[in-house]
Amino acid sequence: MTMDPHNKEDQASDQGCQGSCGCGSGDGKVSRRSFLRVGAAALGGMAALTAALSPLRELDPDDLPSVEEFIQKHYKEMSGEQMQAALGRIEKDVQKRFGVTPEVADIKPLDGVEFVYALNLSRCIGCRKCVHACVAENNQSRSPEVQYIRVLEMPRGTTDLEQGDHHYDRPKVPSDHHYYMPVQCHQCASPPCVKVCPIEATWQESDGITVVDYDWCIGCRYCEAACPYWARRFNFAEPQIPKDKLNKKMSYLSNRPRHKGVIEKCHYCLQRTRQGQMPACLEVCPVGARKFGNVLDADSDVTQILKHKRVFVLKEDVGTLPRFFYYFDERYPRSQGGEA
Amino acid sequence: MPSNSSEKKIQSNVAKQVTPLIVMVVFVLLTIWFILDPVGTGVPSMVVVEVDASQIDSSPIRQMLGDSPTARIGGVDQSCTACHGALLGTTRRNAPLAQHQHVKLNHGINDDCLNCHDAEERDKLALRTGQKISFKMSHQLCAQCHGTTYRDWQDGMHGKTLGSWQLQSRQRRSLKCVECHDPHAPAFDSFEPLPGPHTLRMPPEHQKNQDKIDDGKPATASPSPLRRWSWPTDKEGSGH
Repeated sequence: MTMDPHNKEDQASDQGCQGSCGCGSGDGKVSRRSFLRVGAAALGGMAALTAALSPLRELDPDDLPSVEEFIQKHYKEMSGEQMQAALGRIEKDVQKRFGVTPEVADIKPLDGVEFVYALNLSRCIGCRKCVHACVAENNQSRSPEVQYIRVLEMPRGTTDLEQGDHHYDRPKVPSDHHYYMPVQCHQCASPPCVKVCPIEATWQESDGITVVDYDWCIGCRYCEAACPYWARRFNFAEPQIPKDKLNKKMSYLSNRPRHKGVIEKCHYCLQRTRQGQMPACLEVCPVGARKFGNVLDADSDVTQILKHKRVFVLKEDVGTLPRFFYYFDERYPRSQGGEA
Repeated sequence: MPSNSSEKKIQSNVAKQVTPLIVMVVFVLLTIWFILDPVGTGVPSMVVVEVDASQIDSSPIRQMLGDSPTARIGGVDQSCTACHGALLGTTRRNAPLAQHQHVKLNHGINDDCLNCHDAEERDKLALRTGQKISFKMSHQLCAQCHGTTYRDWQDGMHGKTLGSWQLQSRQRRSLKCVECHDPHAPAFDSFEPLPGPHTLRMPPEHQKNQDKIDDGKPATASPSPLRRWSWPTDKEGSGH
């Protein structure tokens, strides 16, 4: 409709186009037909372009990074003052999003500590308490759901993960014919996820924990694809957490609330463990199947387990050198009267 | 040949005229597609699972009896000596129970009260040596039979440890046997599991069999989403 007046003008001054515009026929004159054709195509193209950009209409100005966030340096390059400024900004951001004032800290690794996890498959009963304690401790999104730990129900007699089931739904666990294998980030000593990150937004710290700088992550998801244990989780949407469920004790590299478009994963609850506490998944385990400690300490629980128990790691052949070990006790299966 | 070339010219003219039309139609269709958004570009909404804080409470699942244990007799908490002091003092093995009916002994071959409880002094437990120990030290009693598990517990390989992973920490506390196990029926009871995953990559129950491979065999377990990245297994085995 809008073209009509132009078209009439064109007809009136037929010499308007000298062929240099490349729109009409070779002799430099634009016929009504060719103008309509090209004009309609151009209009259609513009409309399609506009429509393709239409998701921008839903862009909330709050989603855009603030100037401070935009010019913030990489975690390792920040000075003490800059880190304090960043922590203050995060506190304000959390206050704005959830209406809750958190305590955000930057907790550094301890000297002479290398964390190792061990999990007793003979004891795990698959109650999934660890999964949900982790969600509560680490401020994971409730909608869409993000969980660091997944518990596999495995048929007895195999370690073939293909046969595991995440969705077991029994009135009571454990089942007599299955064992349960929780899987989370293995904090590998040779982490493929760190190797593939194009921008060093994820790296291994001196205590063996691989961390993510959520402000540096660009959301390319290479690390998610590289992880052989399927341990990384991507925030496809803005994480939703009820404000009364928010854990207010936060740390920069671990459980502060994430934004849409960044990756996250288990970090051995570094906001707890770097201050001497146990990880949340361990404390909640009703059967004591989970063991955690400093492998550089010869008397620690995990060192004893590595020395005396039969341990194995998942997918040893891929050469990731996990710091997460599975072990088991010498005992009969529960179905045969399970001697403790 | 001139007629042929003019034919070609006409054809190319037709092509010139038709191409923009096709492009326009494609663009218009794309516009409609983008605006109507039939597939949906948003994140699908998933079930929101709320787990009550009481279900992820990390305190010990049992309370250990102190040095002066009590038992609930007739709705009242009584100390052991209140009844066993002067009145009742049977030292008979396998005596039928008049009281303590709620105690269901399910402890394998350990099927007598007086294997663990001291016959004379009911506020105490007794080792096989006859040495009397307090209820707080009951783990010594367990160690008499469950030696390997006791050793594992001492080294931190068995049982639950709360507070701290630092061995010297004051917050560190290893739970005693009876803080997890019922001494009368030590095998763990079964638990009701908390809800399973509804994450985007581990979708809920009704979606999980979408990528099931129909090979005519009964599925031993539902295929995991990991199947996508796995090598096909050689079902024939060592055929070659």
